[in-house]
Amino acid sequence: MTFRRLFERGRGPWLAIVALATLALGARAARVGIEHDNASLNAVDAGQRRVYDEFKATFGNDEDLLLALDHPALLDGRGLALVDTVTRALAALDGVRRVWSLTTAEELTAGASGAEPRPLVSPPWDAPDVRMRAVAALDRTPDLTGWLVSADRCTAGLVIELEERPGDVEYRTRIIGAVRALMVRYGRDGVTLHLTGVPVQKHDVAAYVDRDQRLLLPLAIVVLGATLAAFFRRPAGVLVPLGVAALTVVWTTGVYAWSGHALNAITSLLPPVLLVVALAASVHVYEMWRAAADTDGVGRALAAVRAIVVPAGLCAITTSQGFASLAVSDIPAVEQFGLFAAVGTAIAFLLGMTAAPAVLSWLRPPARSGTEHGATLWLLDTTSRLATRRPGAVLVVFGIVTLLATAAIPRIRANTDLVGFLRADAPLRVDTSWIDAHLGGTLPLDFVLRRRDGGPIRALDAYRRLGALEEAIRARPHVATVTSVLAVVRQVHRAESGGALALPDDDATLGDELDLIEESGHALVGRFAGPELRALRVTARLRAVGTAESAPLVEAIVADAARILGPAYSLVPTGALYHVVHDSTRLVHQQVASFATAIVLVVLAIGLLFRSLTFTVLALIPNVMPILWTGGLMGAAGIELSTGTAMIASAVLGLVVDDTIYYLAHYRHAYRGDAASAIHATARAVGAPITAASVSLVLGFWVGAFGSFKPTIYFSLLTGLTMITGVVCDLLVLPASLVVAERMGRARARPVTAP
Amino acid sequence: MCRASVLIMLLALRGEGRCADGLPPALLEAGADQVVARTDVPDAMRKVGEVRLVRRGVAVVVQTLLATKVLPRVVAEIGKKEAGNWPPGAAGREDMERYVAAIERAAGALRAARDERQDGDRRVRMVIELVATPEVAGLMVGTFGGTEVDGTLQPTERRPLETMALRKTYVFRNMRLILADAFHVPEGEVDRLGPLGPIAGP
Repeated sequence: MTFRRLFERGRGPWLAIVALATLALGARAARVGIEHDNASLNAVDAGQRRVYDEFKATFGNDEDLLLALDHPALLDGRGLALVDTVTRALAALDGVRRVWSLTTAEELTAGASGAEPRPLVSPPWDAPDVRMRAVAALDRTPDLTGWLVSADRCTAGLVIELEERPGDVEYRTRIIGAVRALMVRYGRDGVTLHLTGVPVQKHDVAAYVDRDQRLLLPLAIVVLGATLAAFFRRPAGVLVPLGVAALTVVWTTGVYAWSGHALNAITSLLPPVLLVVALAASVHVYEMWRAAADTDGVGRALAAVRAIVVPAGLCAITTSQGFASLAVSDIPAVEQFGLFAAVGTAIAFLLGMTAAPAVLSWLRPPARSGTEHGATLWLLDTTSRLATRRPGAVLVVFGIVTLLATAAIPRIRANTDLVGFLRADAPLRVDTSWIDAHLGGTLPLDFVLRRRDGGPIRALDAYRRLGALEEAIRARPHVATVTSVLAVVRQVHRAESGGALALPDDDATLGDELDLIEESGHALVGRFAGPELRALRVTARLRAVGTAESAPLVEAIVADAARILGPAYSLVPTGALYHVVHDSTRLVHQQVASFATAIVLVVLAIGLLFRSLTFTVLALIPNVMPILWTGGLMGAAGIELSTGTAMIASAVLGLVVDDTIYYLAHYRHAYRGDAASAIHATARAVGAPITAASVSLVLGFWVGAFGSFKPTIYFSLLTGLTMITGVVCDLLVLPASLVVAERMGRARARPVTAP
Repeated sequence: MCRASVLIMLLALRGEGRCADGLPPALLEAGADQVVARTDVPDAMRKVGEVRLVRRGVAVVVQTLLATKVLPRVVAEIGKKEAGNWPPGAAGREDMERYVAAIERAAGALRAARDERQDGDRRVRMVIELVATPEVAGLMVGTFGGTEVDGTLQPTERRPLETMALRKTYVFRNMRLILADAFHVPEGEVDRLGPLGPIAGP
């Protein structure tokens, strides 16, 4: 049976299979979940995970909510009464373990048997001396400033401890919704309330992912449809490529959901990215089908497939390799994005080479007209003329731009700022900035202090050293407050001895006071001291900064600890914020590894296809150049390397190289001993679909600019921009390089034959 | 009739005042103790020990097991409560003072022993028992061994440091007051905890 007969007989059943698979995978895709805890944005590091798990087992959940209440007369009766009311309302919420506020905090005072806890402030709130008592109590307990009250005493902080409910993904959503309802209810008459905290970050990110899903995909479909309509001006020219792209999205999302994954801030980009990436092959198939000389539908469809299958296959391989190279990341979200984008690219190739021609074989091709792609052809003729007549000038100009861009690349800094990722008007970002400016630091950076021999920390010398360490940390930039069990020890000693807020003078007294602290069973002690005082928690609250600032700060604090505490003790950073810091510092190394992997794989693929070192080198020049330009732009414009932008180079390499492959494949076919003629012919033959596919890709990527997260916005904008510069390089640098190479006698083409 | 009952009958014949130097050894034998009720003191969160209502043959025992790093503070609290319950001039005041002095002596000795040991375990374990039969009542204070299993102290050995007979009027009432305070119930409702034998309410 000939291939033609096989195609004729099999196209109907194959489309039926495609339809059934689409139904099955579509049902899965419709149920794809959304990740609620951002867990996949943290790197998989067993060592860090173990330390963090131990930390949580010892000190409890470190993911608190922080509600700031700003009142025109906070310490007067009305202000404290409102703090009390809101505190009680928060404490009554299901899933809230405890609320720390001015009206629940205690101070230690001298009682008949020694130190006794007493409420910091107490009702009646309308007593005439309530303000005086509150001011005096806060003066006696300076450790609360920056935590439960601002330095100007106009803003109260309410720290909401949540229960740990691993199996319940919704209770945080309910709590945050209820807290925000309280903020609306009580935020009047000059009172404002502001909410921040890691759980809010997680909640809002999940909500934005959901929102982006509902916005970006339809928007991408509209943009791509309009672009295809503008190029092909035929319904089939829109529906066939768009149909293949839509099926690719459905299949890939279905497989993604089937494998047990939920969408996160990074993989939420998969559907729009795949929609865009999947267009390329079917756009080329459509263009070749339209340009084919055969008169019958099946012949034209097969001719189109024959003309395109090799370069399209290679493009699918290189694009998949680009995405798959992201799998070297140990951030699960990036790894998932890379792997499933690679899977989607393979699906797009399969459907583009089978389903698209099957549908086209039943359609009547449009009559050719001389005005098709008029503007595009003029542009292609102009660029090929410029490249062939002045190749040296083209290479020098582009080389200079590349050198300048490369010089700016070292200015790129790795920075992850989870709140800063949000748009400027996002409620969480507004609230976090407000709390940061008015109450104190919003980012809790935790450390665990231990004796290296594992023993209990009971020596007076250790607590004196801890005090010195607190001072050193407090003196560091970006640190708002530092808290540890030391604050409790000093209070106990004052209450026991009647002296000042200080440490005792001898080990025996400290021992007794530590016994008292341990046996108190007080929740605040459990927050800062582990069982038998074998682990102490030190929390530095940082101003709202990114990892570019917090990563060196962590290093500096650990160095301070080594110097001040001495070799007998260790201070280990941990906690939710440290995870982000830790991951960010690894991002640059992973970016280099991922890009190197992508380059090697792409070089191998091109080398295998063309079997020419010269062509492989020539193919790399117009593809590495735009990536260096984008890197230079990031460095010059201060765009930071983060989870999203780190994916650009690897992902875009696999995409921009596609145009080069189509170009070179046709060039070798058209080469008859004269590079300039072959370049002109190639530009006219593949220039239009390259331009159509690229413009579609660029506009499709730019739809991501309407997303909610800066990393994905930058990823979308910069990937699109890199693709534009990639096309420019393909149309100018590549032909100029071919001409120069020919003149140097190195480029001698060998025909590429389709199977 | 068991040996303990016979012994108690004999002791009763000797009269209350004759037991002033200590309790009969049979009343200190805890091998067949039946725990009727137990609770953490002062509460589960701030636990320093347990108060138990125990049946020991014909005797009823209110047993306080303390395993805490802050024994002086706990003993001070006990002293404060006792002084409140038995103000100057009240009947039983003298017994109360002997009772408090005995546990203070024991606490001091146990704490000194802990400081000498320096084995890293800062918890001091002290047992205080108020024992009551219809005929005799008194105090045993000592220490115990064993650990906490599933949130409950499991004493494996007891070593009395001091025993003394006290007046029944003081001991009977004080046992009810201790139970009421530990179990957070009014004194009149302590009978609901279990059969209280000689210290049962009217």
